[in-house]
Amino acid sequence: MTEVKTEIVIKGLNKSYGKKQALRNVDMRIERGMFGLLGRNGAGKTTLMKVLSTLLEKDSGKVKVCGIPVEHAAEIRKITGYLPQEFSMYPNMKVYETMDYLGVLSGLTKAQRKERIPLLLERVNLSDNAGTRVRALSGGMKRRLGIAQAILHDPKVLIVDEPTAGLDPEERVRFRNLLSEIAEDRIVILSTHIVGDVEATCEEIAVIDQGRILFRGTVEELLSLVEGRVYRAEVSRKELDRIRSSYTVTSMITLGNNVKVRFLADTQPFHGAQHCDAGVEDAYMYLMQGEGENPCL
Amino acid sequence: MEKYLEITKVQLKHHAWQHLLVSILLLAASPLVLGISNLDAAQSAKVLETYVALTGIILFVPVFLPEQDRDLWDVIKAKYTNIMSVYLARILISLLFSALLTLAFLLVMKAGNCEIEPGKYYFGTMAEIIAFGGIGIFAYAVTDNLIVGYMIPLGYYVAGIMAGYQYMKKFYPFGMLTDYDTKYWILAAGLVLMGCGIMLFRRRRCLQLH
Amino acid sequence: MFVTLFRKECAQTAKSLIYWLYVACLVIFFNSQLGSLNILTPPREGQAAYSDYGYKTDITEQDIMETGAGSLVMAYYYDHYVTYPVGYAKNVTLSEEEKGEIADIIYELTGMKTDEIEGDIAAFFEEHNVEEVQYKVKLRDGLTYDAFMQSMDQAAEILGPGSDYTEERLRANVKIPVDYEGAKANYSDLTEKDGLTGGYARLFCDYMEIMLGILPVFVTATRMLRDKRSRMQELIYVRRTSSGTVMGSRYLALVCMHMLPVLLLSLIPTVNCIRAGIEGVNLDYLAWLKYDLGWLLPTVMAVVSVGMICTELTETALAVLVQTAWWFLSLVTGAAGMYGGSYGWNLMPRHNTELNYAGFAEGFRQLACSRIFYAVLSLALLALTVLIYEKKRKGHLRRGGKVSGNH
Repeated sequence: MTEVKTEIVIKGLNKSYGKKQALRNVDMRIERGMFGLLGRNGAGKTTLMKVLSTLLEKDSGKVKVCGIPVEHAAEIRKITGYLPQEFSMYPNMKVYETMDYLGVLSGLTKAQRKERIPLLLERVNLSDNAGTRVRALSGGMKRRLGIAQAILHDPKVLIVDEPTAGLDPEERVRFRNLLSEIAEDRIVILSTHIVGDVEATCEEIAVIDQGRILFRGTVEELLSLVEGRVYRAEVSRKELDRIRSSYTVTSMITLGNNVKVRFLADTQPFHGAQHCDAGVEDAYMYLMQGEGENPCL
Repeated sequence: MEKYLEITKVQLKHHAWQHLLVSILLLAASPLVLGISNLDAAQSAKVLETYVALTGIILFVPVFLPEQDRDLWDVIKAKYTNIMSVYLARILISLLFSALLTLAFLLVMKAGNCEIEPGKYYFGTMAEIIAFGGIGIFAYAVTDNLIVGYMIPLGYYVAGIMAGYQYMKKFYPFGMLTDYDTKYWILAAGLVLMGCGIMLFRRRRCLQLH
Repeated sequence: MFVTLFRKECAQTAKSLIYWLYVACLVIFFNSQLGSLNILTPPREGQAAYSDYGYKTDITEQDIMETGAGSLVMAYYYDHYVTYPVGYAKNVTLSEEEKGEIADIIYELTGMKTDEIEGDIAAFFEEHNVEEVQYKVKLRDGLTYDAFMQSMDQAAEILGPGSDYTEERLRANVKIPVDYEGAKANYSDLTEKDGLTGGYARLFCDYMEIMLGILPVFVTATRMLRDKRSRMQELIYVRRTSSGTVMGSRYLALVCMHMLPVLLLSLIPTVNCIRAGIEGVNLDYLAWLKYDLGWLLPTVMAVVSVGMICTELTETALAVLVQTAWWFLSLVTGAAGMYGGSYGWNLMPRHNTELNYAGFAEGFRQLACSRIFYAVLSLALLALTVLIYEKKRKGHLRRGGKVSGNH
């Protein structure tokens, strides 16, 4: 038997809810490692992830996870783990019981559960809370438990929807590190609308908007889109309007009467504007801006 | 005032209409299930007490249902500063609906040549409706489970039928002709339970949030 | 995997508040109805009354005619006609013309004119105790059963559906108290054919199913809503366990957990029977099990499956409404056949006496059919629930349109 490659192949994927088309002709290949799916709320990230985890049936196109067509839900479920954006667990169950219950549903034997659950709780730093009831967990703890349950059956693919929403900055960093560790020997797809999450952890990314893939490549490739075109300047509020109308502004910070702006320009725009290194956020804003000019928005 | 109109509109649009519809269907089905014309005083009372009053369970118990989902509750809490006023407004809506339905039903009975003392029967039925509603709201608030909110007042109803006045004394739900004092007792109990239920639910939700 | 899941579901149920409310309701109800159960002792000759020993089982056409005509005369005299279209008593008011028709029917049956009725009723109850004996009327000479039934058909027509004057109802309404011989016969049926415990197991079923026709829906609906409320649905959807296993184990666990306290409670009347120490009884030690499983289990299965399918489909408390309505209608329609024997297709067949083995034997086929029907219906609903669950797992039938978890 030949080893099936750990990869996800998507070809011509379409999905709509009634009249609203959530995914349009998506083509993509995802390989081992951390993969970031970046886009604003309602861009189609969740829909794509749900199609991959069999929670939604596609309308058309081909999707294969590790060689298995996504139509074979039972087979796909064996090799994927999923953590939805909004989730919780039976509030009166204890952490260990919850893992045990979900482990049974994942088809693990008693011995497997006994072996894996303590290890996983250890890994997500919840060993001390094995006897805590779910209702007493903090938001961050609940997320970590969410990750632990999603990799309980050692899936080849882990799909995590907006995992850092609602976490405080410190927890967020820890959570990203945890995901990176997990991604060493499998595919981890994470969606986010927060650029920083992707920048810090993902080698490969895709930017999605209105159901279309706007960009697919590495972080470096994304940066190269705007390389050498990022400028920053400190301007008065009055001038800001002028800059906004002529350039793509990627960020700004107000300082008293002045505003610090970052923006994109092909050549030196005006005196006082300083050239600076491109960040993922600049590239992202650049992509989004392009989409913003699209008349159907 | 506008705020309350808004609450009413939202409530009607999203939730209350279903319960209102069920109540109307229940009452509309009454001629098929039991006669509602040419009844004597005792039969009229029985119809009102054992049938019409059931609308109290249907209309009052789901007052917290919109908040069952915590996300939605956050939205509502952000929108309206005082959650108590939202609950009160919803209860008033339920009260208004049940008062109108009962009134309409009484008019139909009257037109159908039933023997009725309008004021006495109206108040008696409404007292029972509020008692059923109060028990349901309280049970829902204590257990945070809508299903228990339905189960307990239904249990009270069944207990009323099985045990009767001799066991339930002043809390007998069907005392229109046996002992009209019961109506004041169950009305008071219903109001107290309703109030306690709202306080409890409010506290429960606040605790969950913080 | 199924067995482990089943065990976990049972444990979850056992830890839920509503389950213990269910148990409490059962225990309280049992206590109020059967708590002070006296086991019937053999009748003695010369006893003051034999009213505890049931009614005569061999009813003649003459009995039916006299009692039926009597009931119509009484209704006419008090101008009080009651029908049971869906079981709930409905008062029917007749026009003068219709009253005249009833008077004509009475005249044809009995030869009595309207002004003679009062005297006849008074005379009858001077001889008989109004508490114990039904009013019977002397029929016109040579009235045949067929002619009688024709007249009754007319009366039934006038009063509308659910009147007391259909053949089935006329027969069921004849309640003739037994004498010593009849009491002995009824009692020996109880001790010999029912093994004593059988009669009491049946009485137990009669009471308990009033609770079992509704209470399981509360526990079931709560369990089914729990996934949604805890926002755990998707975590379960994406696991490899098949929908059949998830729902099947849940169903089995709910049915078993609901039957558990019933089985335990049903031992109490059995023990009472054994402890009564009545001589010459061939005790049936396992009657409780046979009746619990044969009579009550299908009811529980049906209610649990209604709870499951309504809740899974709508994710609301609809099941409570549906089951309450069904329960209410079953209860009121069942009331007519309280004494047993006429079980029909009722969800909760009644047999409100430890006696009447003859009625039980006669209605057994019908009872068995209806019990099997409900068991099969329940499994069919379960299959549908599995189908619905499978659809929802793939993103169909979910409520709220936008499937982003915000609903």
